[in-house]
Amino acid sequence: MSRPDDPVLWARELQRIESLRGSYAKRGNPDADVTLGIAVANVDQLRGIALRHLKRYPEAIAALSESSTRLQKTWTLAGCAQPSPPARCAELDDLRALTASLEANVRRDQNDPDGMGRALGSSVAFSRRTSTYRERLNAAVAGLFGLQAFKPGGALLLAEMKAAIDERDNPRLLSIVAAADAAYGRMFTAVSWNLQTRKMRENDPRDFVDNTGIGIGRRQKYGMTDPDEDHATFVTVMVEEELFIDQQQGAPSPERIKRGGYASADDYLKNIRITDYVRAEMAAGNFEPVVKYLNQAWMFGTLSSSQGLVCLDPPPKIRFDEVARRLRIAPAGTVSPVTVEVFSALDEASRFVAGHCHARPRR
Amino acid sequence: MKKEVKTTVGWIAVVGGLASAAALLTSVLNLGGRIFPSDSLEVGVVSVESLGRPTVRITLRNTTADPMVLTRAELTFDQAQVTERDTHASTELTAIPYTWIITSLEAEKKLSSIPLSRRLEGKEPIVVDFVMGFERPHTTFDARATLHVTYNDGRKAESTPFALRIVNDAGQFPQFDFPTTDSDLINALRGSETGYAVRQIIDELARRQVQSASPDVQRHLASADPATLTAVANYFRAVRDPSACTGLAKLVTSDDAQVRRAAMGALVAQGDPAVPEVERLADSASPAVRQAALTMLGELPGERSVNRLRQALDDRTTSTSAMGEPIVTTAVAIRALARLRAVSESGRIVQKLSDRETGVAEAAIDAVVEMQIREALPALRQMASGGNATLRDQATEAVAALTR
Repeated sequence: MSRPDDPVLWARELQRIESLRGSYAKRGNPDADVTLGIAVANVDQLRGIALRHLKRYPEAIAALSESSTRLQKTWTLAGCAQPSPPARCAELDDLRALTASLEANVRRDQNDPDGMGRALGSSVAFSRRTSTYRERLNAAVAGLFGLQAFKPGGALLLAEMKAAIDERDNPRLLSIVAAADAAYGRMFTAVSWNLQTRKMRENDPRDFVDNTGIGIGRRQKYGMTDPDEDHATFVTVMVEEELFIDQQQGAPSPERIKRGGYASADDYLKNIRITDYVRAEMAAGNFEPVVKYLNQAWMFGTLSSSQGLVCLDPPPKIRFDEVARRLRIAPAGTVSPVTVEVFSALDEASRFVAGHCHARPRR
Repeated sequence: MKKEVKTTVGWIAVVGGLASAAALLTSVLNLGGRIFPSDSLEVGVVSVESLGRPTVRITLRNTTADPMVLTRAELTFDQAQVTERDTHASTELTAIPYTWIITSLEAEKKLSSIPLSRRLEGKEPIVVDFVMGFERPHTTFDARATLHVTYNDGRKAESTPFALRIVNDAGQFPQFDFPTTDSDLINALRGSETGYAVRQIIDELARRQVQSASPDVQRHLASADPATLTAVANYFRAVRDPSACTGLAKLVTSDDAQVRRAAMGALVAQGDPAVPEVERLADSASPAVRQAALTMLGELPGERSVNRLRQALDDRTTSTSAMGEPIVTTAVAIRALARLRAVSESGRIVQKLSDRETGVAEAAIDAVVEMQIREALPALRQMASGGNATLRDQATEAVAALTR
């Protein structure tokens, strides 16, 4: 269509589609004819698209729902529920996935991220046996993250992991875990940055660390230069704390202390106590550092693209319920909704992993 | 400081030192209501390097015998292009000075401007250097630029186009070239309109704790930019000025979490002079604002705070927490009283251990531990064997903490 936003054209298109639908109704019974069933479902999809462009959203949802119901019946009629379904079922799975993703588009236009998440979840679930599965999974998560709907995005990934575990589909589980690893990494970025523009959301140096140590009190820190550097510097400090404080593996080099701009070894050590730092910031009502910390502390080794889900031993030094409790009593409106959303997604994921420790498909 | 400079166009000119260029241009002049009939200003621009940065050197000459006033400088861009640098990682962070920052939005709009306030005497030539910066890290900004200078009552003169290239390498971030003296820094704030520069100057004023900047900083309380409002609030964490309390109190009602948090911190930092404003907030119709005020009162020791918090112990209204759960105002008041160590309220806090709302009982448990109220032990032991799992665990920990 040369002018996709032109309502007159869409109104004309809708008329054409409705007339086509009327003609199909005369051709036979779609409940008993797979080809006709697919044709009717296609027409309802098109009707949903046209109605969406005309901003008649409830009617668009109804049309897509009719398409979905028709496809479900046709899917059963075609014998797709069998353990070894006919080849035609791949086409039906694709159509069902497409219908659900069209519904997700309507939900997005309606500014309904939860509804969009449910529709995308269905779209991904329908595509499990198709070649477009990974593509749909990644696109669904990216679409939800684009709306800062990190919790629905995370929930979708967890639902897919659960299905793969239940179906004992090891390769699919590993590919979902790889997608989840990347997705939770993007959540780290989202705490301080806009994922689309890569611009800083909150210009607060306390949320970042420097290229050597935390740089407590500094106004500009190296982690503020770029989302990648934010991540790299944060992880570095966590590793430094692990090495020099927790495991006491030697002492930091004087050159490193000097390069980091620290006056003494004690000053440097204070600036790598990231656990104490994020806890203190949390007590002061600043939750961004602790959410970044939990993201990394939890993700280290938990999502393994070779082993699946791995339980942390020992668990992170700051517990999710400790942070949740602080969030519950923080004065209203003082915590960024994105930070809360990322925390909630991580919290759900950590519970899921704990419930499926060392989860691999049973053989 | 003034010095003579031989410019590339061969004029002898009088300029301020590079770092004080902005301050020089923004110094307030007494114009005395004079009318300036002339309209002849010659503008020359040369791109040079200064401090290793691209610098726009403006040469201006009033060709008439009458004085004139320069009011604005604008750069318009033709073929503006922003490209990402290949290298993102660096081993160190380097502040790159600027006196004129071009923001990403300005690059998109192909227009960047700064206010001027400079009087030129008849026939006077001047040279002014602007060290150019571009807001976005690790990018190169390339453009063909034209400088337009507005003078007198809206007349304009423009330069011929010239090439402008600003490179931000990995690890480099643009930082305003802060003048050494506080008064020049305040002048720089007066002459800055770009949020990026304004925020950096206010941050620097906060770091230096420049009390005399308070009226100029307060002018930015009207900003629509949350980052600027946060910078303003953070300034008042470092500087005490009772005249700022009303403006800061308004920020407590902001929809932006960072602004709200920073404003609360700033009001608390003002100490006693903030109490009347915080009390006003405590009377707000919005439970969320009321609760924010009660939280602040918990950081403002004194009988007035305790009295107001005591009243709030019976306030059963709720706001919604970050986790989407209700927060009862009573619970907020209990926590605030605990921070004030208000022993006079110990009895009432212990009574709240048996409150029907779990959130209130939780707050009371935290409070009796924080205030070390051992009289609460019998009630806590009862809760430790009670039916509410959340309270049971917390009460058990509280008993342990009080009997340690």
